[in-house]
Amino acid sequence: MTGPPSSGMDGHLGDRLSGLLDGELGGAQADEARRHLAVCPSCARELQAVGEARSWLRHLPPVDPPAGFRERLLAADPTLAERPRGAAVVPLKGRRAAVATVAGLAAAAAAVLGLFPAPDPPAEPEVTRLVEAHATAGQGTDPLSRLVPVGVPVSFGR
Amino acid sequence: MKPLVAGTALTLLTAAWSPAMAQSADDPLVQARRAARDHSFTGQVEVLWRDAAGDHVATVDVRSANGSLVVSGTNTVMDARDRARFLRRREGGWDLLWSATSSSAANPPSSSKYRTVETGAATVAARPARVLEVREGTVLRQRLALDTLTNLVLRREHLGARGEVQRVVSFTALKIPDEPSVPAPPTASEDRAGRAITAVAPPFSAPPTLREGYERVGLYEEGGIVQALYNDGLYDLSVFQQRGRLNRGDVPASGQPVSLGGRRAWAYNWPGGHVLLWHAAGTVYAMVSDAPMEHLLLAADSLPAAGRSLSLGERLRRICRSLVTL
Repeated sequence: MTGPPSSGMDGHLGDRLSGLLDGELGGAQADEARRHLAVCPSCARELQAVGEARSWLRHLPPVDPPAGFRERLLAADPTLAERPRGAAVVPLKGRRAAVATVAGLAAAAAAVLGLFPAPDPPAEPEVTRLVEAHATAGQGTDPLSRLVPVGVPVSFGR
Repeated sequence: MKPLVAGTALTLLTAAWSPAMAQSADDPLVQARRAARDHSFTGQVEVLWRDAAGDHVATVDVRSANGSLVVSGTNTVMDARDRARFLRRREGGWDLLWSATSSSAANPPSSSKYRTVETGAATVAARPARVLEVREGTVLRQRLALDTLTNLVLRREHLGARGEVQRVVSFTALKIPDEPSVPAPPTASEDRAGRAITAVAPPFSAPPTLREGYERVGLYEEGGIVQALYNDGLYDLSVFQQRGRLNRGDVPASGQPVSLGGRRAWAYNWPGGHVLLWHAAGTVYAMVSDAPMEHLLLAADSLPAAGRSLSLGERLRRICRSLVTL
């Protein structure tokens, strides 16, 4: 291998990128990772991509779980209810994998749905009908002023 | 152009300004609404309006008794006593366009935005009338002639921002019958009335308020089209939304292109006001109102999806949100 100094089994930082972003690496490990990043464009690109994906996820608004989610979860694994609140139930590495999976799904969905959205179907609003619906629903003016214009049909052209 | 210019003749009969009237049961606009319900009458009403093709005049017959009103022109419209509203087209058959069960919230008071003052007297359809002007700040929006005896609106002029008369609805003949015949509502009709709903799901939106002081007073859905009804104390304003996109070739031909926050929109005139049509974020919007066009443009600009397309970041955020909620 002739690449830059490595810190992982394949010569790159791998999971340590997340550790670096989370501030979980010790001082020496963090310094080593930064030195590697300075000379390894591949890891530098991956660090940037992981950072952006985490930033997108971090800016998501809070979402409540769907109704019945907790009940279904407990039905699937009743031991969850016995575990102390806040206890880590997923190993750190697994959690990173989960984040990476969601980020990957988001990126894939973005590529398929967001960046290349299917065109909306064409719509031809029936303006005359909308005008009639408006005039008959309104309450603001006296009924005479409101309804008299509807007695005069108008074509908006097509 | 002549009829609209003639409409300004009322100004010749105006007198000095009087203090603004308080908004209450004494409010002449409230009195006029009540009079149209409470009094029996028959007559002819002339409608004047202008659009891109020029000025137009049409005459319709009106008949009201026992709280039911019928307008007979090329279309026939009926406001039944139970507040159901029907429309009979030229080809026959009645459509129910407004159900008696579809309620709406109370309108905001007109006094919060408009000032109504009595400015003089006039004669309309051979009946004595008092002339009122409705101003928004310093801008004269409407000039009305109310029947002195009944408070019926004998004439209503809508004015543009420069004081020009844009639309007029005016009695040319009016009779108060001794024994009015009560219009009978249709025995059969096709139900095209929207059902009242309490909320809309994205991509539709119906904010409780829009710019220019418009408050939402009703929310309805019919055939995949959502209607949010707003009022500012004087004007009604509807925002219709449906999924899809506008192809330029499918836009009604009489529209005038306008800019809405940098987005192309189309403006139309009709005998009862204006229409604004545009497309944003997968939704086609149609705004219909008797308000001035500048109100429509400002109100439209305050809708969440108006005037901007989704950024890449916004798209990603929505996609991630949908993934999390799976």
